[in-house]
Amino acid sequence: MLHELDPMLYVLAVIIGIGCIIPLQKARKMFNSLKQEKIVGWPDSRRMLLGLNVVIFGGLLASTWTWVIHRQLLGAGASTACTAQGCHTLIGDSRWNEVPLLGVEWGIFGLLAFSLLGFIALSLLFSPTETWNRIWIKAGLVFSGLGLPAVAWLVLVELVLADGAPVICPFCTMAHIATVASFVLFLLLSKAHDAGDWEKAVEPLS
Amino acid sequence: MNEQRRALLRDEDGDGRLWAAFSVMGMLTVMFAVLIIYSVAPDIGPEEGKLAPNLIAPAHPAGAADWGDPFVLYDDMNRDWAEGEEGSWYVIQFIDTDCGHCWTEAEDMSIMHDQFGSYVKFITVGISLGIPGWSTSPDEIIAFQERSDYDGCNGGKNCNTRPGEAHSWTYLNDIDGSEKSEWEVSSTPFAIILQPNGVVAWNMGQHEPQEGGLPTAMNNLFGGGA
Repeated sequence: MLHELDPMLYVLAVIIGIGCIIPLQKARKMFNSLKQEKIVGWPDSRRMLLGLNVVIFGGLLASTWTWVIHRQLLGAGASTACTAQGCHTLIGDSRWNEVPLLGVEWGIFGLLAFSLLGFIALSLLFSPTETWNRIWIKAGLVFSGLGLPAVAWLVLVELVLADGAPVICPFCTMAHIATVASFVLFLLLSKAHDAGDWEKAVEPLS
Repeated sequence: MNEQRRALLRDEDGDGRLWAAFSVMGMLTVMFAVLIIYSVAPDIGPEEGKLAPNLIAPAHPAGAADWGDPFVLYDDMNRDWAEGEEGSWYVIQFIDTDCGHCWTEAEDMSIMHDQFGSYVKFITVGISLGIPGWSTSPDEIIAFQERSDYDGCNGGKNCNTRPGEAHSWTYLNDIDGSEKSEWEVSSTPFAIILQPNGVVAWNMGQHEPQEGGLPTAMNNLFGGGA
């Protein structure tokens, strides 16, 4: 079965998977074996930020890919970017591929949302010792939290509302995983900051 | 000057966010490159051979009490259709209920629907050409469709005297003109035939009236019909 999946799905799964592994303690050993001594020496919060940035990049790429699929479906009727039936059923149907009330395609919305989260997460990664860190972490938590109802709605569409439900759009699922993982990582960072575990001694990257 | 430079070097706040902004912009550039490289930009337009523009307008199916949910062409058509396969073709006709030619063509439409209706989906879009003295309304469009008692069709006539039978296909309301410009409709009646995948097979505006208009085009495409 696996060989039938689209290659980009592997790429996204690897990126998001790596992003989720980096914040774990075990990742230190992994970086050590890769001779990344500098990252090994990073405090947990900064490694968490690195993982968050990788996850957000995966979400950004997944959103862009759903936009590619939609344009291919629109232009050619079929998509080489996703051969799963779920993509055609969900991304190819304007009832499900538009943000309710806004009328914007989910792919474009995801691209903008992950860009905003990426800006916040990168700013924190580059400048982790500043007074504005706390408010930016909270902003990241709120913005990523706003993505959760959207994910819930889209999962409901996949499982119940779409024609022939349940149907799964694997690239949409990747974007959903990235959204949830971003929220969890922002939550952990927020808790670390509130608990005073935010390492202020660390030197800025830039 | 030197103080300003030192202040900039010390300002790690601005520095980190600036780099973050540059990085996000760089990533977005890469994403747009991915989009351009991998996606086929659709060639959309009402001309023959192009994918027809989407058509979204409130719909009135035959027999319905009032205007209902919008009809969305892109959700209705089968983009996977290939030449030679079975599928439902479309005739999209634009009319103004006050236009005399639309009034007389209504009978031809009834005949064509009897002939081809089993495999061609007929859709009539009521628009307003904005000609002084002409006025249309959603009720008038329904009366035109149903051939019912309503004074105002074709410059004040009762709609129940319209030639042809009551039309048993869906009518759309585009009085606000949101669709007619995309379809490049400058006069009525105007008709376009679409393949089941939404590609324009025939556009009235690309043919001379002497060629016979819509009935001839239908006969050429579908033969004698059912």
